[in-house]
Amino acid sequence: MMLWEQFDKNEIYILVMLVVAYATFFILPKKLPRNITLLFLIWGFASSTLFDFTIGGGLMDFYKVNDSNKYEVSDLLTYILFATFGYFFVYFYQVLGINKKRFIPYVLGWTAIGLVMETVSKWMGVTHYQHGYILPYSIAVFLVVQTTTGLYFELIKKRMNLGNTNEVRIK
Amino acid sequence: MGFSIFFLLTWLFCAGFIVIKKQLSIIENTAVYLIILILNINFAWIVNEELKFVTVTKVGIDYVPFLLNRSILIPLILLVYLNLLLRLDKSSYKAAVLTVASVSIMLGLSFLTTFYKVTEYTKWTHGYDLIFFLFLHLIAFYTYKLFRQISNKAVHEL
Repeated sequence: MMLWEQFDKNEIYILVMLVVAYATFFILPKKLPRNITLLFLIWGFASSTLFDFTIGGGLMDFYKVNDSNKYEVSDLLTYILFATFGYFFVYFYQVLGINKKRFIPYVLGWTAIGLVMETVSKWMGVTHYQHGYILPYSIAVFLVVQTTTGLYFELIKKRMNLGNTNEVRIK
Repeated sequence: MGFSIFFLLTWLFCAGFIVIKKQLSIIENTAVYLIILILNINFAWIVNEELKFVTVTKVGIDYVPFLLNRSILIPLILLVYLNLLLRLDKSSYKAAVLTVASVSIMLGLSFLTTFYKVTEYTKWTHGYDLIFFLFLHLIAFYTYKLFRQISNKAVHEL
């Protein structure tokens, strides 16, 4: 594993985003128990890893992350960045009191945010599409990841009797 | 044939996991699954694509067993293992037998991937697999311990 092929705008973008994302993570008032917070950080990391090493590498290899198809430390930093998005998704789900009626707009909203972020990532040289992959294909990835995350969080809420505020009662 | 065998095994372990009595909470089960998934994917990538110690097939239908084994079977086997392990009374003998059985199943799957030409070991052996699988068992156990500790603290804080 190398650090990076060359330190340029994509590495700077990732480092800036890491600082912004983790500063936001620590500044926001805590609304979720520690185990759920940690779980969804891992969830975000695992989702990005799973998709990058399945459709972004190996046999399909639809895109490369950062400067090369080789595993760089900056790739790892990208997954660490994605960890916070798993947390932010459930954090705002809880804070905004998302229910059945608001579920669809909430997921579509996050999909739109995802597309904007991916466009910026493309400009900054973080993602490079190849083998016929185009940005709209990512809509499928975002919808699958965010719907499963939302449904899974609903399941956790039911099991832990987690209300829509920071009122938490564990059965 | 490799596709059918691995699909059947994946279904069997999914169904097995659903029906067994869980000793871990949903959060603990998920955390262990995800940590093992992250480690296994990264390890497979480094060994196969970076170091080129293992060659993975370029045939689409034969590539599916590789994905099923990497992303579903190995983490699920560890979940079943942990849930069964925590049901045992404090008998180290039974725990050892269960660990040997779990590692043997994982090794069996590695043999199957080479048998069905899903993977080809060039500079890699099943002995290295054995060491990695033992390491995964340790990580799974300590991930569970960590989350149990954090969950207990979360309850006390309320």
